[in-house]
Amino acid sequence: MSESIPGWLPFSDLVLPAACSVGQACWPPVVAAALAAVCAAAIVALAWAGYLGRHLYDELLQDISDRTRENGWRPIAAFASPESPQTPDGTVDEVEPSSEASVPDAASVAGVSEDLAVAVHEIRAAAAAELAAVRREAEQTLAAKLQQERAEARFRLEAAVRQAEVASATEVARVKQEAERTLAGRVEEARREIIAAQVAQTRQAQEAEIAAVKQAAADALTQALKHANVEADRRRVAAVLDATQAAAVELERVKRDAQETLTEQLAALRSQMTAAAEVNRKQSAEIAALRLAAEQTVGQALEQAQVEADRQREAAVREAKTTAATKLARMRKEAERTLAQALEEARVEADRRREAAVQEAKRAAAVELGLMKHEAAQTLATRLEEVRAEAARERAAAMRARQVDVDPYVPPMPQPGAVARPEPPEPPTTTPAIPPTTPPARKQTLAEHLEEARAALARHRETAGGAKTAPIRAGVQDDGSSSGSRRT
Amino acid sequence: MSSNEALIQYWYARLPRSLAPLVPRIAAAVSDGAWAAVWVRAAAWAPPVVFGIGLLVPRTWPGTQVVYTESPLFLAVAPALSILSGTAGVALLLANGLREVLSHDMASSLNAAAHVGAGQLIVWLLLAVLVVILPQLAHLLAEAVVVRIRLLRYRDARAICRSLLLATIFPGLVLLWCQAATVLVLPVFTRTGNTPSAAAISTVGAWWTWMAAATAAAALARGLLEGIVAPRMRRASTAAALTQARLASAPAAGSAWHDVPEAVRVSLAAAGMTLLMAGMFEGPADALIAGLFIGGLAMLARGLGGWLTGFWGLHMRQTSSLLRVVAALGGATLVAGGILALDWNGTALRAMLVASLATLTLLVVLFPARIVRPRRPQTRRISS
Repeated sequence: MSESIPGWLPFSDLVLPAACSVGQACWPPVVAAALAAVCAAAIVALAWAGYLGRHLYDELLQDISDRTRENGWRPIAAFASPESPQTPDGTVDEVEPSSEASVPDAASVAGVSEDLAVAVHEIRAAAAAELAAVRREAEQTLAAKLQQERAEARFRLEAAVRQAEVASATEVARVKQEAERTLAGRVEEARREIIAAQVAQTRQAQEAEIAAVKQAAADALTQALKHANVEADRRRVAAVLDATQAAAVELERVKRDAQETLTEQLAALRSQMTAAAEVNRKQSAEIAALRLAAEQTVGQALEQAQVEADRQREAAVREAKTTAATKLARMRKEAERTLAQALEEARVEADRRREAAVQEAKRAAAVELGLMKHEAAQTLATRLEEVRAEAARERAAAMRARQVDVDPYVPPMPQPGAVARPEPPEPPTTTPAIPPTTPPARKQTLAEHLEEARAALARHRETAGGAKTAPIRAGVQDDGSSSGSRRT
Repeated sequence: MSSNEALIQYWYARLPRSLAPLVPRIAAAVSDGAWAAVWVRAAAWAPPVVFGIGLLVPRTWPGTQVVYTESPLFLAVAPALSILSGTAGVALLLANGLREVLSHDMASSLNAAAHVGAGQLIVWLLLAVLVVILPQLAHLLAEAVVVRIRLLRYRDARAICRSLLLATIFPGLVLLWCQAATVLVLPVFTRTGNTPSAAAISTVGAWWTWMAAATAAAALARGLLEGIVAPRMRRASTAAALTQARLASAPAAGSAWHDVPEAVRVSLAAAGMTLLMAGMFEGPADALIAGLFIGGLAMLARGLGGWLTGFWGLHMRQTSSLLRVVAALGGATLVAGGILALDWNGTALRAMLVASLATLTLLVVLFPARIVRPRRPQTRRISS
């Protein structure tokens, strides 16, 4: 047996596993468990009575047998006893008088009280048991005697047979010797035939004698059996008569004793009843007085209990209110603390999200700034090309103007993109060539254009960086590198 | 003698005669189907056919996984068969036991046999109570009521009354068994460490109307066929001869136990009853206490101290049996309810065990055994 029951379900879950369906027992779990325990004990008790105890079944059988006999019925096959009369079909149990009328019937005794009837029933049952015992003993005695008689008869028969066989053998030897002596002179064949004939004749005579002996033994056995039967019947009848007579005498004695006892008990009971009636009357009066006093006492007690209950109810209400207020304050503090904590967490989360947005904007601005730098560099390069081209044209114009002053022939300035025509070779001059120098006005113009381009670039930068939250320092990239290196 | 008649002689006369000295109740159940011998083929072949069906049908009767109480069909068929013919009921019981012995769960290893086998033995004994003990008790109770109605002067009237009583008493006993089975089948789960299934317990509560209807119909049919139809059949004498043959073995009933010492018999009874109550044990200590208690009750019932067999026994036997039954069961229910209410925690197996032992005590006290005195001294007194 396991020490503990694994996975044990509560008994209420087993007996009432779900909502009660139609017709299902819907008792409370304790009642269901109590019924199960009682039924289990009843089943165990029935098994006890059925397997080994047997007294319950035997008493029921005896009761059925007795009442069937009292009713004058014949029992059905299932409850018949070995001594019950059986009709040929074994089941006919029509109404007929009881066959055991020799034993007085307890129910027929007029005026017999219940106790007397029970006593009579006991005596009758004991007498029946005694009768059955005597009958069984007589039957056993008869059977033993019959067996002994049979054994003795069989022994006598066998002895007779053996004696007849010995006698016949002796007779055969004697006849044979006599025949040999008488017929010694006859021829061998005649003597053998005569001897054979005599032997056959002798055997027939012996068989007839054996049959006669057997018949005599059988007659003796029959006589012995008859005698044994008669003796057994006589003994059985005598035993039955003795038992019946003893039972009747005992019954009479018990009946007489019981009647006397009953009369005495009735007289005593009457006197007791009279005394009890008097006592009862007195007690009724006392009870009425006590009941009146008790009712008054109960009324007062009820009023006091009502007042006390009101007081207790008010005290309970006050205590409940105090408890509720305390609990409410505690809950409010806890809610405020929870709210502050939630706000702090929300603020931290907002800062984190704002920082993330700033970083994201910085990255986007850097990308945009790179693009704008690239465009500004392209614009500046284009502008520088234009400025250089214009400076070249102005320088060419200036050179032509100076040549006009010196030489009327001035070749035309090559236009950008135009195919320069081969100029005629200049005639050698004696005047040393003046190095091409930019006049101061042109240098100033170029410086101004360069300054304008730088200012435009600065405006572009300001325009691009002004929309962003983070200021961008002029000439310094976000990654820390100098913008001047890219400007070239 | 034809083979059918030879089979009938064996089932209803020779086999009960062999069993009577050792197991008289089972012998009586085996011979119970003799009334149907008027239908030769049915009477001859019903026991082996039922045995074969019970043996070959797998454990999984519809709805059954572990124990037969999970199957409403089995719970309706077994008592109905046993009230129709005790021979068929015993055949079904033996087939069920043999199939469980040969099953894989028990034949696989010694450990499985020790754990599964112990639980299955207990539920098999419980099934024996259902198909052997309760039908005979129902027959006895119905007949005990019939013989008290002296107005029933005609055989057919008695047969009808007997049938109606049987159809009332036997379903009641079956429902009593079902209510007890909710507790007593638990060892088949607890011995193997499994959780008791709700289906094994709740089936008897949910299907009791159908079970009661099936058993009542079978009991009514048995009473009418046995009391009215069979006696008018051509071969009624065969049933009478079988009855005579059975009655010849009546004196030998239980004779094998006569030479067994009283202490051994009481010990065996206490051990068997303790085994049946194993469903309410929470540990070995409970088994030991219950065994000692039941043994003490058995010794009291057998006349120890003369408390239950003297004056008290005489007065109890003079009291109405019906009154004693009502008093025992009603008082036991009140006592059990009080005990369980004191220690109710949802399972309360130990409290149920205490309640069952209290109930058993009440039953033993209110139904004392009649101790038969030795007959030999009385014989000498009367003969003298």
